[in-house]
Amino acid sequence: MINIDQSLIYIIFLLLAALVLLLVGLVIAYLRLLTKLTSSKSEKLTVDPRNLLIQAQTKGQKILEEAYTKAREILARSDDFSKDQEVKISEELKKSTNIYVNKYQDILEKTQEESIKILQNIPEDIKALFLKEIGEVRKNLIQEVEKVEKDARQIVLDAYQKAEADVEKYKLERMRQVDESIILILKDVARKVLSKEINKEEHEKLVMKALEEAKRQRVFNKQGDLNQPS
Amino acid sequence: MYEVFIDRIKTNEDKERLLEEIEVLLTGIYEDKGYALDSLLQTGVRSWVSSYIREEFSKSGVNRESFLRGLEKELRGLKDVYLTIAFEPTQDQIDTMASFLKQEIGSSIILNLSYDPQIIGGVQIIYEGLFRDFSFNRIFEKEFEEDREEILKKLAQNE
Repeated sequence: MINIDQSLIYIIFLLLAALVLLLVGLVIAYLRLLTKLTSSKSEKLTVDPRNLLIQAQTKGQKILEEAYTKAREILARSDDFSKDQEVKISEELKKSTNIYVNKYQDILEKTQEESIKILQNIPEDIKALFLKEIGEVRKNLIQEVEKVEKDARQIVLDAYQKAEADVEKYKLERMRQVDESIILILKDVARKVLSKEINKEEHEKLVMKALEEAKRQRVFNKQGDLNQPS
Repeated sequence: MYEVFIDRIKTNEDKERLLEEIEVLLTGIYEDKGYALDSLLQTGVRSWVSSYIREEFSKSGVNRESFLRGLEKELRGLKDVYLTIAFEPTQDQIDTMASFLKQEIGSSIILNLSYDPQIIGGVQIIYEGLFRDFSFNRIFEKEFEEDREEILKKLAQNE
């Protein structure tokens, strides 16, 4: 479309140029005529004005005819040019259209083929993808289950060990309490037996002996020995 | 002036009883122009207390109230010697202990006795805020702790 517009512009331009040339020819002829008229004023008496007019008219006509002929030639050429151009343009247009159409068809065909291939491969891909994903999930699940199993086993083991340790601790504590009770009972019995075995006189002797020991250790002095009796 | 009384009392109970008697006598000083005091000396206090006080009152220039207040103050100023023993002592035994301590420390002490059979024998002393254990229990505990493992082992073998 752009090429066609340009050729029209060229035609118009050529026509304008032909007209301009024609106009220039007329102006030149007019100017020659004026020059001859001015020179003929001096030769008024020798030259017949009628002849001169006829000559001028003839010449002008001749010039016009030449200009016309040239213009026609130019026009003819321009016509040929425009026709050639149009043909060329239309041919080029046709070629390019054909090329584009062919390319488009090729692309379309290729795209169609690719699409068909893709469409045909979709189930396989999905299947493969699904299998892969399922495999991954399965693997992760197995790992998780193993981890949970391991953790659970560890928790149970820990709890068992803790319970065992607690039982052991409790057992030891109870044993210690039993030992303590036995010792207390023994002490109590021993004390009672000893107390019964000691009579008042012996008690008095023990007290006096203790007081003597306290005196020896300077307990009754204001700054007595602060150590416990041995 | 008060030595007779101080020598006579040995324990805290003795001191408290004497303080109560002094309190009774002090209430009678201003009753019935002093006749009440004579009456109280006759009926309100122990004979030896009455005897010693009458003797002091008979001395010239003795102010009855001042004397009684002075005795009260002297008694309250006595130092306590706390003794814990494993038996309930007789008066003779108390006298022996008091005599020993007065000789060691001085006459201005008073025995504060308590009874605890757990100490087995001997005595625990608290004097001027310091505790000393001379009881048989301390020796017993020490020996028992030393033989504790041995005793438990023997018990375990017998099970």
